[in-house]
Amino acid sequence: MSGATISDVQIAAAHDGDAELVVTLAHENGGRSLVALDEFAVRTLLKSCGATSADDLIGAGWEHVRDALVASSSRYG
Amino acid sequence: MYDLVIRNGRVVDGSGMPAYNADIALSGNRIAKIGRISEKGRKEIDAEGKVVSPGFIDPHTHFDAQLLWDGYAKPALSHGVTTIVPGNCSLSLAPLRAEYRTKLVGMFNQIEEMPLKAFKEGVVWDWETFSEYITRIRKGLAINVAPLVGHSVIRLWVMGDAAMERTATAEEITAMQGVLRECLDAGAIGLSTSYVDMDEKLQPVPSRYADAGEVEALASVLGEYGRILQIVPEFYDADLTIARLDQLAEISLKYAIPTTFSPLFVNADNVDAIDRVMRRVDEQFARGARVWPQVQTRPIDISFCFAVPSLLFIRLPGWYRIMRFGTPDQIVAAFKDPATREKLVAESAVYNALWPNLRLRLVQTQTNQKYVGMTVGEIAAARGTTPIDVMIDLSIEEHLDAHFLAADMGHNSDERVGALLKHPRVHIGASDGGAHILSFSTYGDTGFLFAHYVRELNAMSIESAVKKITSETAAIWGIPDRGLLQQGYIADIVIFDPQTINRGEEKYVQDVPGDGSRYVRDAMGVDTVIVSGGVAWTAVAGYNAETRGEVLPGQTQDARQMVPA
Repeated sequence: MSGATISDVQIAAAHDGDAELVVTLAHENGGRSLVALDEFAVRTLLKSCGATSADDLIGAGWEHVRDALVASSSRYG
Repeated sequence: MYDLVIRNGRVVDGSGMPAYNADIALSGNRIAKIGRISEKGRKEIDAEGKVVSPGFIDPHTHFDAQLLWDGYAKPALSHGVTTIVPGNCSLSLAPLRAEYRTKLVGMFNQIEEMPLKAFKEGVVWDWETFSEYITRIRKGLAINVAPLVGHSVIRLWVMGDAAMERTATAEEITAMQGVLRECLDAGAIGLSTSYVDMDEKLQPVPSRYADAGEVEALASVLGEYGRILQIVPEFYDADLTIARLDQLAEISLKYAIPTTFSPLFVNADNVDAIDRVMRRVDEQFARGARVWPQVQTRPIDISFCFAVPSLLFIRLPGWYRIMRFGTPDQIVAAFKDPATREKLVAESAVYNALWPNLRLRLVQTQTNQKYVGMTVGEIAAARGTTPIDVMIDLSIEEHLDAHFLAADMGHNSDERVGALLKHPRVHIGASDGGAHILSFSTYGDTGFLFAHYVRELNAMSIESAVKKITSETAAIWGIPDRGLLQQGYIADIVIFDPQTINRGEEKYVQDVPGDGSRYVRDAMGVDTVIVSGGVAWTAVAGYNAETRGEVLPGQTQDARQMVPA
């Protein structure tokens, strides 16, 4: 995973019809993967990347995505 | 004399074979004869110019609760759907001990957006076991129901609170197998489980605490009965979805059962992923596994209002910041402030192609009710202003309680979705009927299939489309004697106009117990719907008081009727 970065962001629909953000991670070996983020995770991701818009996330490292997901899922632990 | 004769129709019999002209005679609940029929019927229907097809089967619904106050599953029946499968995604309303009713209602509310008040005022809780629930819904049942039992509720029944905390012990797994057998004996068509859903506290639903051994142990019971396993995989990630379908394939091969997973969406950003998933589906079918991806026909809709931050605005930082950090009063104040408003309008210009197409879904004031259902562009024309000003002004007037719909936001590539829908190893379904009732209408997907993919795009023949949602669905799910128009089959029949069948405009109605509301779509072009030989709905007279719906596949003593998928 080292070196994987956000290469694209797209707005998509979640299970309940709300919007969610799907980020594309580009890996060093040429592979790509998609990660869906809820509103809380997106907010955390924007803050950790110092971004104000989804487009500003492009180029950010995958660790930010991981930390945002962890922050989101641990809210109710 | 026959009980009912349908004359002069164009028969699309569900087999995929070319349509032909014939009469159809019914005796009791079965098809007695197909051909040129000279004998009279006690009742006769002239289907000149209409298609006569088997009733449609909707394999992915959440009508579990609605069936308790509405045995017609309105408006699904009026769209030609004669059989529904509730209990998907690990959630069913039975078996359920009394002390876990509140918990399960919370899960239904969180995952399927079923209002708490509807459960409180529309449901008399007089069951615990699956058998008791089946007895309960049989009263006044006008539509056929092939119910799944949910893995999460089986876990709750056996493990109590521990179902939401840990994996099961060997003894608990054995107990769950016993409960599953009881449910299958009582008429469950299979088992559903979920790997993604969260409960009302945003904790994983009980099924997600199961290890692979538990799922396999339950699948072994399904193997004893030849019944289906439905799952919700991590559908947003192709690699995880492929891993799950590989797991399903091993289970399908080992226990000789059909399996299905849903949803599978085509979005602009995952075209390659869909190709990878479908290649793996093809490979697994080539091995002899049955891993049916379910694909919905309708595009994805997203709802929002400005009181809640919506990621739909994530690319407009000025808007998103206000929605995210502002109180309702502050947001309204920002909208009223000329300088702020000017900046917001300027920033929104990048989406000026989108705003006119948004549709106003819901407002609170009487003054603005006249705009509900109109597009923002239409309202702008009526008010003599711009679409973005309409959104701002209505939100001010409604103190942010103006709800908009961004329709067609995904799963809307005619070429890609059309190719998927006609793929021989894609199962058309995933309507979610009865769920998400305040976000979008889950009714009319079959009408949309015929109107858009058959009539407008010519992407598939009407014979293929009918086959996909009738005989193919019946075969996948092991529903006996239905899905085909053949002598001796149960008479579940739809008569519709192939030139006009469609889904109506989405509309907001207040017909949910507890003064609740929901979004629905009326049927267009559907003439008559027959369930088990009885006319259940007509475009002229509406729903018939005489009800003939059945629970499928029925109790174990009916097992001889089972047909392998």
